[in-house]
Amino acid sequence: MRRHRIDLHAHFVPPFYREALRRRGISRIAGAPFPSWTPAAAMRFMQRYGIQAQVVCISEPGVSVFGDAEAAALARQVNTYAAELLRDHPTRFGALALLPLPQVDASVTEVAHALDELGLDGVVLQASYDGRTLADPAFAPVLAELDRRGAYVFVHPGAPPPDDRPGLPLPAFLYEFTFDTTRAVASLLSAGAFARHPRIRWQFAHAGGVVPGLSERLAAHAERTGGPPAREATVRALAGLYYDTALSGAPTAMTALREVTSLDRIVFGTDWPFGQALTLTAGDPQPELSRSFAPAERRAVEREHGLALVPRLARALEAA
Amino acid sequence: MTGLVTRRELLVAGAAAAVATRSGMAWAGAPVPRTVDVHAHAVLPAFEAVFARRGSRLVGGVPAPAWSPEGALARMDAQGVGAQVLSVPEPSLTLVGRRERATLARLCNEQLAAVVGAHPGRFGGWGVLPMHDPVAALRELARVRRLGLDGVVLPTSVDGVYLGDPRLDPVLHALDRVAMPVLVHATPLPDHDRPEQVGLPDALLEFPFEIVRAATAMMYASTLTRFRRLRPILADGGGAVPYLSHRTSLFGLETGLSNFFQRRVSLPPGLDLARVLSWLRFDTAGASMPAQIRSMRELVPVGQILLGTDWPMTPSVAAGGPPQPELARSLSPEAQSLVRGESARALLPGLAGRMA
Repeated sequence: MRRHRIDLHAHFVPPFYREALRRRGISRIAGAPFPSWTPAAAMRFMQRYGIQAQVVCISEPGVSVFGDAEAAALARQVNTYAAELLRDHPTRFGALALLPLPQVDASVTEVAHALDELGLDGVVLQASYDGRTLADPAFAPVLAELDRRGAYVFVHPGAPPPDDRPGLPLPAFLYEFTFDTTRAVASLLSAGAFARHPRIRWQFAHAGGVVPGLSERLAAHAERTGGPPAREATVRALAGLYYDTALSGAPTAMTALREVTSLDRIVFGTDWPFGQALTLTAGDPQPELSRSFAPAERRAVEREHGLALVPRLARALEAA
Repeated sequence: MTGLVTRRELLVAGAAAAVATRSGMAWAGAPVPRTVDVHAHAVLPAFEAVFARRGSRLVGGVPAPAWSPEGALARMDAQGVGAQVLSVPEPSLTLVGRRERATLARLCNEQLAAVVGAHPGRFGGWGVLPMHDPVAALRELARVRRLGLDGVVLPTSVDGVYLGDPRLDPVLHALDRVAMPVLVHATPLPDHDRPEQVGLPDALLEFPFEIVRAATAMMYASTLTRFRRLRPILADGGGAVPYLSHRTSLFGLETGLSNFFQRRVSLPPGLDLARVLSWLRFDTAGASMPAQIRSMRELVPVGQILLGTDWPMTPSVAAGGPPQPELARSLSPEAQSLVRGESARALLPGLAGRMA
């Protein structure tokens, strides 16, 4: 089977990172064991589902659970590992840099190192750090640095700490993750951060959390607080973001998403290996996409739109 | 774009008039508006007393405006709304201590019944129950029925206990037995159950999140399957229930997730989550644009989408004209007349009779 898909929402777990988490007593994420990962396992997954390349990043909790010095060193180690992965498999992987947020200065340094020196394809940010959303003014220097480079920034949620959410006996990934993403977008909107950083190419995980589902509330809130121009700014900002299909490819979400943005902002993502329980049989990783898109549209979502976000990978594939 | 919308609105007004004529309604003469708003609030004297005592009118970070039946009627006349189905702005009654809630519920229901009684063709009422105490709630349900209110409003949660929790089942069972129409409305989270520093009013995001939590809990607890006639209206377009429905149903799909999390979630055998979702009803408060309506339409027949505005808690920007003209961008004239009143009148026959 021809592998044509480009997966813009995939994770990697370098062995030393898993070990560092284990030393911190973290072996599970969102109630499930931390999945195992190797480049070979990733390539077997890609083979099974017609995926040509994955753009990988670290999922929550990043390095925010470590002390400052250890976090900065571990982020550097992850990014160095990612650069080696790209060097070894330039046509099979893209990689996003991990920053030692909430440390701001160290993160600004790491942006420069990871993008300018290591040549990584972009940056992954958590929707919130210690309960502070990305719109927190303290993080502004990091966003400014990313804007200056026109960086591709993937925003991935985490589960809010158990004492910041109701204690329902359902796994947090069912919905709380999407709320984290949604709060980040709403705070970035209300802080004017999208307009202030127009060169950042933002992708929000899982079809934007529930942002497109609540777009009318966000627009109406903007209008109540800032008049019609604020509504228009909100509508424009939401149209300018990228959204991936991980766990979200069904028409219930995609119909709303297509009202909020244009087709070329919708990219394919699997959330593998965290989402691996979702795919049981080889072949089509997200059959629901065929209910949401015409065949030509689906192909563009699964390939071209994503490739446009990672020009290095696109060039490597062309040269191969 | 603005020009396009305006032209569409004009077309809609024309189409609506044509529908009105076809169904024999007097559109231009003495108007008999048939529009029903299933999600509107009454800030009753009992709630005014609560606000006065607390020194705050905030509900979910939004100040409750002063309200009167006359003010509501003037607003409805300006918008051609035939009837509003009213509820208190905060249905968990957690603005007061647990001991006071049964009394507050009784006062609210009596005052609500008086408003409906004074304008029977213009108002319906969702009674409120002291849900923290199921025994008291059942007692109050009996009063709500004696008072002739049209249904009840249920909070998504009370003191951290969500719909779907077995502790609330006796009330849901009783509502199911008498086929009482139900509106599920969000309630502010206790301070200890929410993230800090987001800096946005709860009503904007946390309310829709609450509706997702309650609906998902009811799905997985098979509440909606066991109480088959409950079929609640979820307020605010179901929050993000339609948008998230694929994700929240993942356990029920052909995936390995049930095994993955088997110690955390046990699905009752035979529970078909997709089918359960298709029983739900949604109102259009804050959810009337094509993005929201199309998402709902993927999940339920159009007859299960009902006009709701959240007025006056969500003030409308437009002054006059029918509420939510943007419905015309995603719904045919026939579908709109269902959403704007026909389906609500079918669901609430008492109100329909009073409006006739």
